[in-house]
Amino acid sequence: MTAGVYKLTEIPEHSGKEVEPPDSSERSSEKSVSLELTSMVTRDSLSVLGLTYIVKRWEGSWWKGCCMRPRMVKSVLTNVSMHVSSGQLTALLGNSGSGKTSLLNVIANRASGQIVGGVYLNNTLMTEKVFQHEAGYVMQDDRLIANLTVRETLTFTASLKFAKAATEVITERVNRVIGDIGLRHVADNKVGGLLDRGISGGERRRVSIAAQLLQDPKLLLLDEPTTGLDSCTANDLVANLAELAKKRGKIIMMTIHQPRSEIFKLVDQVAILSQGELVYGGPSVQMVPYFTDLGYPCPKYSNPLDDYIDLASIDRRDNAVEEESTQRVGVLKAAFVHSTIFRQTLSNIHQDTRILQTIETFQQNAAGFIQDPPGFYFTFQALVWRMTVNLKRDRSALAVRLFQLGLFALFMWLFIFRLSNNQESIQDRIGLFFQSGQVSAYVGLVNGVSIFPPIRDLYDREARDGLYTFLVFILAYFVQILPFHFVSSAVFSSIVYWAIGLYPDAKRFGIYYSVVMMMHYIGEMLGVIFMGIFKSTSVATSVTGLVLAISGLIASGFLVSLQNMLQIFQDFSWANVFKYSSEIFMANEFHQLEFSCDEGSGMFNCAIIHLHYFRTIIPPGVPCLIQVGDDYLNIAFPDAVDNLSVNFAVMAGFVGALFITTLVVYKIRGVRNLH
Amino acid sequence: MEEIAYNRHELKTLTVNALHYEVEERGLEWWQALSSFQMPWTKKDLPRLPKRKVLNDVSFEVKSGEMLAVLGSSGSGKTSLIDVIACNNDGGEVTGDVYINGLKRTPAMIKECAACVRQDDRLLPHLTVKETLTFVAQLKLPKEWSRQNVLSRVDSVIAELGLRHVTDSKVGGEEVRGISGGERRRVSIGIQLLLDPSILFLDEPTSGLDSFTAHHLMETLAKLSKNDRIVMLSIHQPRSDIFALFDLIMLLSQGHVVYNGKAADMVAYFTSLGHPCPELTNPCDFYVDLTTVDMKTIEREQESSDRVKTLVSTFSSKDEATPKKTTVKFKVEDDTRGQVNEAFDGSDGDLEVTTTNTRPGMWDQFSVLLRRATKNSLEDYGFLAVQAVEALAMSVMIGLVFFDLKLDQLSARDRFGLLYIIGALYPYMVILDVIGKYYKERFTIYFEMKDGLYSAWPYFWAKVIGEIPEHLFFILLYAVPVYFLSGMQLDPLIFLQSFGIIFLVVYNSRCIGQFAGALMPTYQLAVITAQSIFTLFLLSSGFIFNLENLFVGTQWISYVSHLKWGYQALCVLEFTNLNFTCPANLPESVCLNNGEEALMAYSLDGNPVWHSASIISGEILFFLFLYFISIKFISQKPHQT
Repeated sequence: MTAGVYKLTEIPEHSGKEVEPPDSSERSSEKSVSLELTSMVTRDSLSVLGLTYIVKRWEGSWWKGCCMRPRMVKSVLTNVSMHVSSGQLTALLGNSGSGKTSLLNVIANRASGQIVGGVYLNNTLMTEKVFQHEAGYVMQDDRLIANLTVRETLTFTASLKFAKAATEVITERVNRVIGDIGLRHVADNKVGGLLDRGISGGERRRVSIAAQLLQDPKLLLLDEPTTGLDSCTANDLVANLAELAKKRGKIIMMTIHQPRSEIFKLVDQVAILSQGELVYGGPSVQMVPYFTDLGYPCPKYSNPLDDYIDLASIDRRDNAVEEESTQRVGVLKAAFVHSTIFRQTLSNIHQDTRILQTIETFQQNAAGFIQDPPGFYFTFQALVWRMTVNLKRDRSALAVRLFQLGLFALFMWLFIFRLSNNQESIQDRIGLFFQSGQVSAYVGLVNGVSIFPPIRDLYDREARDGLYTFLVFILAYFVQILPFHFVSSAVFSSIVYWAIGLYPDAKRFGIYYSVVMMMHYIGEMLGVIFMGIFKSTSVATSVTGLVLAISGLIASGFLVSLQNMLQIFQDFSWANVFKYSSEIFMANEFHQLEFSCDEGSGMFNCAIIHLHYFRTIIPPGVPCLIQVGDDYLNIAFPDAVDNLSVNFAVMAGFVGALFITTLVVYKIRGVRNLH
Repeated sequence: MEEIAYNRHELKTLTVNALHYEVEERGLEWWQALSSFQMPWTKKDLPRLPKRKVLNDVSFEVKSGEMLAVLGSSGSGKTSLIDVIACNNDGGEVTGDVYINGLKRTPAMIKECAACVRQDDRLLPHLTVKETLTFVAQLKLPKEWSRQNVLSRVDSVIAELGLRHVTDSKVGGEEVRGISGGERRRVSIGIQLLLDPSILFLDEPTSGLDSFTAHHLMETLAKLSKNDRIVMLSIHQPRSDIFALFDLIMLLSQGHVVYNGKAADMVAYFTSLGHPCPELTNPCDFYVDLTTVDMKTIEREQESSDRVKTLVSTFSSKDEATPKKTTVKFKVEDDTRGQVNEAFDGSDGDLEVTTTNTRPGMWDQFSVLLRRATKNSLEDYGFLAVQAVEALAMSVMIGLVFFDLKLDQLSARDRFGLLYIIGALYPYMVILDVIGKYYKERFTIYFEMKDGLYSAWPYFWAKVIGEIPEHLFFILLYAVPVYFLSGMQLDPLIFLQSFGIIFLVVYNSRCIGQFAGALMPTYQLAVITAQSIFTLFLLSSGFIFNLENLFVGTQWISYVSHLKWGYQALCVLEFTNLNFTCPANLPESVCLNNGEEALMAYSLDGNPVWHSASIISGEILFFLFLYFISIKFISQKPHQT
């Protein structure tokens, strides 16, 4: 059945709910979607009825507070009605600020604001669930993982979408989409990033589109698919979309910025928006006659789309022109509402949405749908696989992850070279442990900052599409980085421990290594938490850096004595991970370590003594204050040796607590809307 | 039409004869190779890439009052053509001649009578439209001009470009809200119009603008060309109504000319070749597609490249066939070229003299740059506020951690910790801010220096002197709260000296940041370089490791570490004349009785404060010198990523 049949059907003015829709039997059969394409024989329609979208926001700078700023209420879309059927390619046109993208966002249920009116797919109200099942939305920016090939990218998305399907089925589906969208010649090329060039911009855009086509959606929305492409590539892309709509019977709707005349010939429906209202919305073949009837013919060698967009925009260069153009646009809007084309649209909408299907029926019908949500373990595995492959192919990121921490160890080694056992070496050891805690946490943060933000943005996009949740995402990230932390901490600890020469004992080395690794891990976790709170990566980095520096300062007991600090810092010192890490470091090294007593170290005794909290009385006449490390521990870190295992457990507790905090933060943060 | 008749342009003719241009494919830059782990020795295995012909036998002629549009799909050589004519090409081999009024063009001539508008707008975001133009005008216009004249010239440019309604609006940029993209593009054009050039080159002036704005911009350009200028532009996807504004069109395909002539004749020409333009179609779109080689499939590539070849040969044979008066003219000129060029060379010297003489000198450049930099950073109060909050927050946090230090034995060590962290924490953060800020400006600097607006020397001084007040302000915010919260010695002289030392130490870190920023091509590399230097200085500062235990091979680093000298000076200032109490249950011999003993215990005694201060000052001069050398000799060309 085609759209033409509907045009001929007369709709009675009163609502006819008792009348069965002519094609209800056909429509119920189309729900049994299998991997075989059935949509070629079905007819779907998207109806937008009387859509009005209002946003409210505060104007002016944030520091003026909520009371000083005027609150602006703006109607982004006003009473927009459209009707599109499968097989049609629709172009949404208009100048910047005309509401094109907002219309797509409202259809996709991704708009925040007040929405009046309804969007229906066939006769079902478009909810987020329905959209996730039946539609795809290609946003303006391509967010792709740089080091995966085109095929891997698509296979990954497909395997998340059809977890229960067999591998051959997924391969077949991916191959078909690659063929449909014209990516066969680059199927095994890397997508590419900024430094290493991969596929071209037009091909990247196609990969983004292909990812949305995998589930064979009835409706495909695209936001500015041709932006940034040269005219030839843009033209090919639109031609490809038109072909896709015809061949696979899809409803495709795109916004477009600088439409070329060739594009005009490819689209079936055109909607021109001006300040959120339709100036024209209907078949493209009727557009030129429609405007000609209104007294605006299109010159012979001219692109009608350009011409009529200009006609529908308000020229703000000076007041006279602005007034004149505002008036003109007003007349055009009014004329369209009273046109036969608009009336036809309304009757089509009426026809298709007369009997609304409830969500429950929709879900029953969709039960046989292939798109079962994949299991937790499966998603987790797929995400870890993707992150690992991406990192493995990015050699510089990989090297930074593995060796940056070790580089700092080399710096320290450069200065100390080999620890001695004299009295001054106590200070060296303290400095070394202070650095061990700070540096490993800080490098963890830096590592996270360099790879996490693009993955986070991708999560926002894919979580919107319903592919996975924050829980799997966070868990996969934290598990995936673990092996790298093992290695980089091992490099660092080995250099510090064996080259610089700490207490030579394998078990003690193990303890040192574990603490370094936990601090390294905690640093990255903190970074991830703050990158969830702040959108800007640099703000997140500075805040995390400051938190690490100050808490290290307060609690490590190396730079300032806890007893002299403000009461509030003392009361909360238990909540500071550096307190535990430094106690373990100190006990681990100083317990039973013997110090030598050479000439001239007498003066240094005095330097040591100020570390006391005078719990012990030192017998007079002793040449060296610290003969065994325990002497020092007794003064500065009493009970550190006894508490070793407790401290260790507390640190592990910190790792767990931070993990839970991350989950809470990402739960509250939700999924951000990115363009 | 204009209020001031400056450089009333005589009529010009730009003639290009048989221009060829070849470039060598360049590999990755050293830092790109480094970050993708391409080792130097793997490089020689790569075969030397053959030279690529970018332009092939291009000839045309434009006269004042005409607008020439160069069309073509990406990779057709549009931008290269404009770059070669405007002497902006980055290497490559050029053959063929370019004449202005029959004289072979030299870079000096181009500088004298032409201006080039680049594809992306590099404007300082916090200045208004009027300020942006005024500052450049003061750098560009002859220095004999009175302030009144300069301002009226700026006003007339603003009027000519239809920017009156946004004269006092901020320009804005990626992060800052300002005027619209089309208006920003017009400001970029306005900068080039200040000298009223008779030839204006524009590379893709409409890219990134919406179709409505693009149209208005092109109308402006058409108006400019009607005003006896040559306007030559490359364009990628012109709308049909833009097409109507062009006088001349050159259609390029892979460096070959497919069509060159009156815009109005283009459709007729292609129709005569059997390619009529369908109705309701933009002829530009249609013919650009027609002359593009389609690489999608092998058959289509074959077919389209055959078509393009036929079109190219048809056009060049037609070009040959039509009697060319220009060719004849050159024939005549060829005979007299020696004389002509000689005559020109003779006048060349005068020309140079007049240009350098009338342009503002070093001192004027410096004062304009200083005023502009101050204005731009003061207007950026968001960034200033963030930095101020950062300094204050750090200061208060440290002050609270070390709140009200006593004079017992334990506090003696706390003082060392305090002085260490004062000298280490803020300078570390400052490095990141400095490098970030420098990379925001770098684009503007590079292109303005390339345009010869000013040289490195005045820029350097404007930058150094312009930043001192803001630096002083942040140091006040940083040093005062921590000093009084932690209860350091309340002697005005000691406070002033400590303040001076902190000022110097932080300033030194800024210089390291600036040096790294100017030295390295990307932000990340600059940060890594600066942080490495900083870490080396930090570890050898004498707090983390005892100075006497440092490995002999690397001990020298501590002698050049400004953090070590700053730390030492602060310690000497704070500990001198400080007496510590010794608990009754302890013999005095094991106590630190006074500050001098404490300094000795940390191996920090022996160097008076002035000693440290002068070493840090010397190091500041050293890094400033390196910074200057980097601006002067290292290309500040901005890179992506």
